[in-house]
Amino acid sequence: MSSAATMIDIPLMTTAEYQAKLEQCIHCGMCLEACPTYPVFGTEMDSPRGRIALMRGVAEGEIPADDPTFKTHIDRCLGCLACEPACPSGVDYRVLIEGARQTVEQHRTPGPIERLVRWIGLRQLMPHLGRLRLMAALMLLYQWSGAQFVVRRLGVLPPTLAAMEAILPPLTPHRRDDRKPFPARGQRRGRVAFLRGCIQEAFLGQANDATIRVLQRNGYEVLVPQLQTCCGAAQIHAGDEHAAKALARANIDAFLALDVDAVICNAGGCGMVLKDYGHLLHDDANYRARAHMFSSTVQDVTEFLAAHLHTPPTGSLPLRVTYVDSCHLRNGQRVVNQPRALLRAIPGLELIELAHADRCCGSAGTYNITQPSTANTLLADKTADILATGADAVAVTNTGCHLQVIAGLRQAKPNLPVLHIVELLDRAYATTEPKVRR
Amino acid sequence: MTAHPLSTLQATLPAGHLITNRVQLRTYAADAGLDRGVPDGVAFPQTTDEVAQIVRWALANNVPLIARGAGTGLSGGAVAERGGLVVQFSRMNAVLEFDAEGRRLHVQPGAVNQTIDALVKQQGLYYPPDPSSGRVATIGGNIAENSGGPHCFKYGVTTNYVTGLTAVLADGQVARFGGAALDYPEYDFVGLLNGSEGTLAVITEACLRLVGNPPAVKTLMAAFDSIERAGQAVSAIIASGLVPTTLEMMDQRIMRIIEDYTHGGLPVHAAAALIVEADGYPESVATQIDEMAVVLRQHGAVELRIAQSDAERDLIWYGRKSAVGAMSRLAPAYYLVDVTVPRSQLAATLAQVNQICEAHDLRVGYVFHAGDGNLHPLILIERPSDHELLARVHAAGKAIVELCVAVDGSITGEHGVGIEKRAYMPLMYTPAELQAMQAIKHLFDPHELLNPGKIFPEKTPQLQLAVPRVPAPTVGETVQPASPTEAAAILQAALAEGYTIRLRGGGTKSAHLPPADVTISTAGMTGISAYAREDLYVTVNAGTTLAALQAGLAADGWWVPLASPWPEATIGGIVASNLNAPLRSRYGAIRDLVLATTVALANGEVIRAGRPVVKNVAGYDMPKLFVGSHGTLGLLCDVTLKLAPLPRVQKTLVVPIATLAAGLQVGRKLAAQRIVASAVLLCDGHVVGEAAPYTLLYTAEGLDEDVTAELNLVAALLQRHRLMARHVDTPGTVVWAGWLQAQVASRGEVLRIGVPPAQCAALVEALATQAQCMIDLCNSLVYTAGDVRAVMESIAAVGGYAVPLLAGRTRPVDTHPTPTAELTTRLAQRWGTNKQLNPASLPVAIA
Ligand SMILES: Cc1cc2nc3c(=O)[nH]c(=O)nc-3n(C[C@H](O)[C@H](O)[C@H](O)COP(=O)(O)OP(=O)(O)OC[C@H]3O[C@@H](n4cnc5c(N)ncnc54)[C@H](O)[C@@H]3O)c2cc1C
Ligand code: SF4
Ligand code: SF4
Repeated sequence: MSSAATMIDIPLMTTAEYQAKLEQCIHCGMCLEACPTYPVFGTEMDSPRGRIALMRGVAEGEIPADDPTFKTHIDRCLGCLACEPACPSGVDYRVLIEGARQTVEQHRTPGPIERLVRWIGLRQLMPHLGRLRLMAALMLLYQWSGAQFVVRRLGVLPPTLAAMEAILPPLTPHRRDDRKPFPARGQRRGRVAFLRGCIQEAFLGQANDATIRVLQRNGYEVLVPQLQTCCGAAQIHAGDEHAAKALARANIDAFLALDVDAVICNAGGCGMVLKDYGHLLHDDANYRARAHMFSSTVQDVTEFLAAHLHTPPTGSLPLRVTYVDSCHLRNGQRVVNQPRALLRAIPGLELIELAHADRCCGSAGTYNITQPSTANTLLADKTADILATGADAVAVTNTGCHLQVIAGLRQAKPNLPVLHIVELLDRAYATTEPKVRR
Repeated sequence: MTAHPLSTLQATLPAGHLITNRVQLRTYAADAGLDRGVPDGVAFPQTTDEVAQIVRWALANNVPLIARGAGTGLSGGAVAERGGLVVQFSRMNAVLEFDAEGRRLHVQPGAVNQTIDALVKQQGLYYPPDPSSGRVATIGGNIAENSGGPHCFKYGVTTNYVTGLTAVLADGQVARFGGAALDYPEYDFVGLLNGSEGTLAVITEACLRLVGNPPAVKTLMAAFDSIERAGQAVSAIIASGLVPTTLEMMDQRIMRIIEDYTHGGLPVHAAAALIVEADGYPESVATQIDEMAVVLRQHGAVELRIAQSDAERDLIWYGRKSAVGAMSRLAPAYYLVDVTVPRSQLAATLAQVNQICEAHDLRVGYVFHAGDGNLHPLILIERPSDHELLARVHAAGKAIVELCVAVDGSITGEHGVGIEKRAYMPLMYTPAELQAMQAIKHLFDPHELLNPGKIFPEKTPQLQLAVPRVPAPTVGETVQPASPTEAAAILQAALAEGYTIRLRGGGTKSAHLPPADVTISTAGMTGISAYAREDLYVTVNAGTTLAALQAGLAADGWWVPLASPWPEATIGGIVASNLNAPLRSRYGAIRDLVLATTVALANGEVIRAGRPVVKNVAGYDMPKLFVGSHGTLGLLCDVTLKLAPLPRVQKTLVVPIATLAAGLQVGRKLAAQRIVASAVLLCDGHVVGEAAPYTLLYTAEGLDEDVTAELNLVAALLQRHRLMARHVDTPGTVVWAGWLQAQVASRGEVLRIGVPPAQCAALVEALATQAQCMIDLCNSLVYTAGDVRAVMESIAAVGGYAVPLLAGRTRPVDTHPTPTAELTTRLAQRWGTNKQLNPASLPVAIA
């Protein structure tokens, strides 16, 4: 595990750029109601404006950087960025929270179990798809063997692990050979590269399969570079910028050399980070320009398909579907209408808008692990909103939300399918295609 | 180490309801303005009782209390400048009651403006005050600042929609002002608390009035070559008799800045652009917009864009609403000046503001509510720590304020005085006027506990009370002063002699009151003293009869939407006695139409309460205090009233009804779907020639298309109930007036009963067994000449009242006076000099 010295390059909060970004906040309060934690706590410190005030205090040296109160309120931030579109002054909250988290991380002493879990998760598992797959296989065994049932009944896990365990989705065995390109089907339109994601691939591999097939059907050849790795989102979230940068460089190396029209990502959280490699590596002279170039080619699969749905599905999928926005897709990438347009493009499908569509489900990276009570409140609200729509299926666009919504529905309506939008598209196509073995 | 000063409070509050951590408190150091002050603690009450407990603790420990909603105020209202305890309402945000049919919403103060508008829209209703901060700002904050929004040109500001408040007074008592009924026979403390910036009482519940949500809206944007031309176009639209909901203007500079950021296609080549919006029935909005387009073209619009879809409408508004944000991208801070001038002064004022900013070498842009004369110069602050720059910004701000005061405008149209503008108060108000406001503050908060230091200048100019300048009148004499100064002098002299004084207008009411030593009549003060059609107001001397005023205005196509059963009623008398015709639901009540009034006070001073502008939140809303004060607080010498264009069309349907129950059922349904109705009346007995046991009348007025569309809906509903209707020429208001006249003539007196709309029908059914009555269904007011003793208790139990139209007090004298009654007594004693002024006329129990 890394020492603090290798984790931190320059403390972001001390830079002039950061302080100028703090000044941009005119404390107008227009972001309060957009923030999911404000209604939960009802306090200024748990609103974007309050957090920025605290950051300002730390940046100006009036609050010690290791102040526990500062840490509490920074830790409670979901990083959902709902405050950004709400802000009339264009405050770059994402950069602000990143710096604050880095400072908090620098001064924290996590407990032994948390340290272990983080070290395993962020450093030993996520960057290594093989190990993740192995873990998924073990978990499959865990579920199939009945051990999950026993563990849940006994409640023997320490809280951090229990929270992780709770979001385990029902798993199905899965393996795809993606070393060779997937050819375009029908009229050829171009070539794209696919970033399959780490957790997504290991736990929700079907969504990745569907992504590839839907792109193929629309005339795209799909490459899956084998040297790709985890996007680095979780590491940034945990304040481990150093690890994130290493992953970013690896991905840039893996993708940039390819001759493709776009780099496609199907998880909102990953896509946001990929699109921001330019910022992440801005002080790396070797990678700065390449990072920008890479980021400019990244598109979320819904964004890409909404513009390139050359062969819309013709098969009918007579379902009432509601869509759970991914915060990082909606607020971080401002992709709001495209997922909806794709759903509407499916014949027979009726899109029912969710109440409070802009509100985070509480997943937010590792939030449900570190702040379980707030996460549960938000998840309960989200689940209630989903159930209120009476939908037959829930559409999602991000791994974390996917797992979280499944977890939320586990008690209330375990059979309600939760699917990535491309999976719904895939099914619509499949209804008019001869059944083939996949 | 000594214990934290708040530890004794901590012990009494539920866990988690108080914070005292220094780091956390930092986040409460500011609102959205430029002032700062870290509080000693923040409390998060959830009930009125908890607030009362906090206030009592603060009183005992002499700790200042600062109420806070969302902290979006721009004048430092929620800033704990002197430390103290912030009382934060974010967790006290429940909707307590929603009567959709009766159009009332009862909420806690932390409820968010747009959240409640969204809630009521689900029922086809609308809560019009829409400050741009409505996404987050709370109802408590809106009330305390009397907030306005882009739609207040047509719909008015917050105070026009608040019918009742529950508040904790500075002594910890819980008081109820007003309620869900209308026109309570008490001083308009509700009106006074609106805009009081948390300095008079802590508001813990509010009852709001809602209106029908117009089914259609249409928006256009017009570009002009010069600001002057745009200003003239605004006047032309107003003069054309159309009532747009919005008239917003942007100048070129700000359009360019916004456009760089939004790319929404603003007409950046033009010197100014106007956003105009119309609402109503679908048939009418298209015609309204076409007609406005013609007027705009005639007045120099070089480009017109009419939104054809919701998306296009959103795009137009997106530009306007992005203004402040766009500006803040150019500089880390800005100073948003908020001032009002009479509309006709807009163009000239803007030119002068530009000169001022140039002289101080400052960058400025404008977005403003042109329809209301409310301008918002936005001065950029490139370096917030540069003291020299800040000094220039403040100097320019002051010069702008002075400019507006000079043309009879206000130092603040919607953002309040707070800390920011308190030093400017003496620019706008005379020492006597300031002292009158301070007397109110003292009455409510003698120990300076509530939001101390706000609104008032640090040093109030001293008032030198004039020595009596005229001899006192002799007993039995009736005097007719010719001017406010003379009236004040006579008042002072007579009161000094210890005389009781009867104030007299047309004598419709005062003639029924017991005699006094001296009578002062307004008959010497008549006529219109200012008629500003472009600014939509008329100032009329108090002795003028309403009939004379209307006759003068009608020739020009205007009127004041008021009515009285008595042709000889004077303006002063109407305002002082606050009798509202059914018109109230269509055009607002007297309290909503009075912009300003000149009053002769008992101390010999003359004050002008309010200013002739529709938006003015500088200090307390004093005109409200005099509406319905029945002459107990001073003599109204002139009144400035809002003008309205005469309705182009007015149509009335009458429906014979067999039973009271049927009439109430249909009548309430009709009232619940109204948009342009000026009366929905149910009369017991024969009116307009109907021979049925009951008669239902429905009058709609305004634009032809709206009236036709609404009456079609009425006809459809009547048909479903198998009822026949016919058209008559007599509108509801005339029927109302005639009924009251007839009853007064035959029975000597009529009672007005106000009840919450939800209880109106039940009450009428109980009452009708005893007496004849007429029900104003839109306003939930019942008139009867009969005996109401049997129902008095149930009226009081639901928060209603009964009051005679003519004679004085009627409420049974309270043996346990409520806090409201106590305040009433103290105010009347102080300003009315211990019941010498218009004794026995105030229709509440004065112990
Ligand atoms: C971007 C922006 C746009 C704005 N646009 C408008 C606009 O269009 N029109 C407009 O009028 N204003 C506007 N404002 C100003 C501000 O939003 C309003 O004054 C708003 O009503 C304040 O509400 P709040 O809940 O934030 O109150 P706060 O700022 O928290 O408090 C304002 C005042 O109300 C008092 N107060 C709050 N709650 C209570 C209570 N329960 N009892 C007694 N006193 C109380 C406080 O003590 C303080 O004096 C704008 C502000 C911003 C930042
Ligand atoms: S990122 Fe989300 S949780 Fe954090 S301050 Fe912004 S809106 Fe609130
Ligand atoms: S909306 Fe933006 S400027 Fe306003 S308080 Fe929030 S972050 Fe600051």
